[in-house]
Order: sequence, then C-alpha cells, then structure tokens
Amino acid sequence: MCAEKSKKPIPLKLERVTKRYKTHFWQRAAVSVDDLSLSIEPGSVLGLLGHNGAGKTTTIKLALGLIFPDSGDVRLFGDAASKPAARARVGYLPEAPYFPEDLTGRELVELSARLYGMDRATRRRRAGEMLERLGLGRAADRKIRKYSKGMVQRAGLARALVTEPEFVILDEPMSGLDPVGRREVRDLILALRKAGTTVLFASHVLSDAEMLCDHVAILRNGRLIRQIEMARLSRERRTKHWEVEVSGGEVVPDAEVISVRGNERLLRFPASLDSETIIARLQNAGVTLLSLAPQRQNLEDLFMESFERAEDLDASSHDSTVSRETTSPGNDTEEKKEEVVA
Amino acid sequence: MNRVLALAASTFQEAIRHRILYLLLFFAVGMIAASRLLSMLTVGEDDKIIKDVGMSAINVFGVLIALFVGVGLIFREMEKRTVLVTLSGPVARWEYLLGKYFGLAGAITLNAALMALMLFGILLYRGAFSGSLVTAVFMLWVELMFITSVAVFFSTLSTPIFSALFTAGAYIVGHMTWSLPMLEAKVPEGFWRDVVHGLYLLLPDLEYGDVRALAVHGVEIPFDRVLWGTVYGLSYAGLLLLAACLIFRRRDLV
Repeated sequence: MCAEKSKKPIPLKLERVTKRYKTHFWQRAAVSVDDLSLSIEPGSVLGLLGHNGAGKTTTIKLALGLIFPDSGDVRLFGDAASKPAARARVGYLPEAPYFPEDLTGRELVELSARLYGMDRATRRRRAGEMLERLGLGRAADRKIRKYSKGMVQRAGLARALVTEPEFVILDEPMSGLDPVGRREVRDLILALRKAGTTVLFASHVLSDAEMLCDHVAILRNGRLIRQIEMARLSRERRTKHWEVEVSGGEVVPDAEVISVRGNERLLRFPASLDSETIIARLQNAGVTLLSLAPQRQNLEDLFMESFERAEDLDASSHDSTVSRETTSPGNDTEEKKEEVVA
Repeated sequence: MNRVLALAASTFQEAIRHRILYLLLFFAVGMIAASRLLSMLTVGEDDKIIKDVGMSAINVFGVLIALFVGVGLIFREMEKRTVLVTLSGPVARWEYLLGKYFGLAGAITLNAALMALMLFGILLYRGAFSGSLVTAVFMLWVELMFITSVAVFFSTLSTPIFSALFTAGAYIVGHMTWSLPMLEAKVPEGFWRDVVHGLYLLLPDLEYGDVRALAVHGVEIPFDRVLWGTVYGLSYAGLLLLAACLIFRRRDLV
C-alpha cells in the first residue's frame, strides 16, 4: 500500500522558487516569494498559512503556471506547471472568485468541463451532479449576476471539482462565507481527503487549517518559515500551562488568578508543575477542586511562535549584516533559517 | 481546437450581450435608412448615395464595435481575474487568445451581415442591387477581421483606452498609407526615402482591398485585387495574432 502510494507522482513540487514583482516599471521589484521549496504528498491536505501578503496567492499562481518564477522550478505531477497538460489534473478555486455574470451556474460549470475535454453527455451529467451536491441544484439555471456571494463561491467549487481532479487548489475557500457556508466547505474538503484527493488550500484562519490539514506550511514575507505535520503536532505538543477551577479556600502558591465568579476562581499553574503537586497545593490551601486540565499547544501557538522567531531572526540577520560588513564574513543567517525551517 | 471553439462560443455570447453593440447596430441601421433621405438631396444619384452611405456605415460601425467591445475584452478579463480561472485549466495561452479573437470576429461578422442584409434589401427593392456590392462588403469584412486582430493585439499589451487609440490609429493610418508611395517619389534618394519605403511596407494598407468606390460606380472589380486584398488582410491579421500569442505566452497574470 505504502509502496503503491510512493509510486504516485508528487502533485506539486516547488524547488528554490523566487518571484519578484514590479508594480510600475520605475519601481524596484519587491520579493513576493523568496527561495521557496515545498512539496505536497499525494492524497494529503496541505494548508498554506500566513498573513495577507505573505506570498500564499503568489505560490498558488506559480503552481498553476499563471505567473512564471524568476528562478527555481515548479512541477505539477512531474511536469512543468506552464504546460497545459499538467494542469488538466488540477482543479482551482481562486480567492473571491468572479465569473462572467451573464452565464448561468450550469453554463459556467459546463464550459469549464468542456475546456477540460469532457464530452457533452458527461459534462451535462457531471455539472448537474456537482451543482446539486453543492446546494445549487435549484439555482443552476439562474444567472450568476443574481447569485449571493456564498452561491458564487459554491459555483466556483462546482467548477473546480466537476472534472474530479486529482489535485485541488483552493485559495481562501472560506472567505466571505457565513458559518453554514464555512461548515459546508469544510465538510467538502474532508470528503475530498477521504476520497484520496490531494488538496492545497491557502487560509489565514488557523482553526480551519487545524481541523483539515495533514501538513501546514507557514509563510512570512514570501519565505517558508515552518512546516508542521499535524499528526506529530497533536502527539508532541507540549503543555503550556494548567487551568484549574476551584471554589472557596485560601490563596494558592504559584497560582495566577484568571477570573473570579462568586465563590469560584479560575487559576493558572505553570507547566513545570505536575498534577500531583498542584492537587497537593490545593489541598493545603483548603480549596475544593472543580476541574483540572492541561492546556496544550495548538496551531495558533506554533504559528505565533514561528512568527516571533522569524522576526527575531530578521532582526539578528540585520545585525549580522551590519557586523559582517565590519568583521569577518559568515553565513549565520542561513544556518538559523535552516534551523527554523527544519 | 475544441477548446478554441468553446472559448470562441462563450466570447461570442458575451459580445452579443454587450449593450453597446445594439446601440451601434441601431445607429448603423438608422444611417442606412437615412441614406434614402440623403439621396433626395442629390438628383439622379440616389442609388450611389445609398450604396456609399450604407457601406460606410458597415465599415465604421464594424470598426467601432471592434474598438468598444474588442479592446476591453482581454483587459476586463485580466482585471476581473476571470482569465485566471480559464487559464488555470488545460488551456494554452494561444488557445485562449484565438478563442477570444474568433468569438469577437464572429460577433462583428454577425453585425456586418445584418447591416449588409438591410442594405441589400433596400437596394433590391429599388432595383439597384449588383453582385459587385457583395464583393465590396466581403472586402469590408476582411478589413474588419484585420482591425479586430489589431484590437486583440493591443489589448494584450495595454489598457483599453490606449488600445482603442492605437486601434483607431491603425485604422486611420491604414487608409492613408496609399499616399506614402507618392511621398516616396518626391523625397530625394537616400536615407529618408528608404524610411518612407520601409514604412509603406510595414504599415497596413487598407485602401488596396477597399473596393467600395468601384462597386458604387458599377465598375467591375478586378479579381486579383479581391484575391490579393484578402490574402494581404488576413495574413496581416494572422501575423498580429501570432505576435499577440508570443507576447501573451510569457506574461504574468497577476
């Protein structure tokens, strides 16, 4: 099973890709993606995380051959991303999609299927099925002009999935959706994962990524600052602190009071203490224990931690650049970068 | 090729839903109808006036459609980012561009055909119809196909306003290049004469294929002029589309 899986070509591989943009020809080009290497395992879900402007959309456009790297190599299923045939196995939903408003939902999905080379009967059937599955069955023959934002998003998803692609790229698929819509998209991604489809999705909503992804890649200023395997994260994440609910009694040593409601208090103990020690201290102080729970690291903590480390690194690389100019040459920034990426 | 057809069909649909197209068609039809009134001003020349005004309307309004609908076509898709959706699939850039061109060319052809039918109808009713009019309208169509390729070429490079200016420029210049050989004859031999000659070779000559005057005056249209005018116009259009594809091939779609 494993051997069979490893035979499958890698859906997306970026190797040392750099892309700079110029907004005007007299301006200096700004780096949008910087020496980025990334690959995605067949059948897995990779979340691309980062703030706005971190390089997520640029990475996706590079992957789809919509823009060309200044240096480095982008491969889709082993082929150059600029080759149309390589893109035939990929479905794509752009961020805040916009479609020709005079088309109906059905026309949009059928046109896309036709461009992918699907014959008339199949595309008619598949388009109907996909629109039905995404809750647009009754609105399929209405013009997109009359669709709500959520409906446009769902039509875009139907368009991306109509050809049953092996690899799906979704750029901020939940943006602009109401809670019900978000839930539906989440369920859809889970269903894709279950069916063995490879998914790459960009988001800045960490809870979505935490729930859906097998791996996440965190981008900052176009650089990959951390890659996290979610299974490992849930196994190895450390305890941040303990949260303890108590009622009555005296002041407990080492406990930080978070909130007080009548006789009840919520206390926080440092992670360095174990549960027995905490219970002993509570007994000594004569308080009644209501609940005791370790608070473990989540993706948000790791995300923030990675950002802080990258910021420190930037500051130190600035310092080292200055010192390098005056002292001996060295490459300590590179080493640190490796360490963070690892 | 199937993809080019699919894109052309959807572009055609999009173009014929354009409101400006109906406005232009309305004006053109109005003008052809009004030519009957104009002809009353000149005694004995009624039919010539109707033919002349009618064919000019087909020409000018065809060019205006290429300008208003054509130049915005690709730019709008870039701005609204629908192009990203189309080109993220297995569609080559040249397929996309040709699809756009043929869709637009189809819409312009349909409009020119409607205008021509109306003109022919009036002339048939008056008993002034002749076969050379069909040839002249066909040559106008060749010119429109060329202008459409200019519009598509510039719209892959530039914003709609500049594209419209350049396309209109190409149309005007194209109808004036016939005077360059005359200028060439007057310029003393040497560098500037070569420049004028080079310009004449490079710039499109739209007058060669324009046989309206012959058709209006009932003069027989020489076959070789029709043949070479068509070959010239369509080859020029083909070269411009090829250049547009080459430019678009490596363009970043931001």
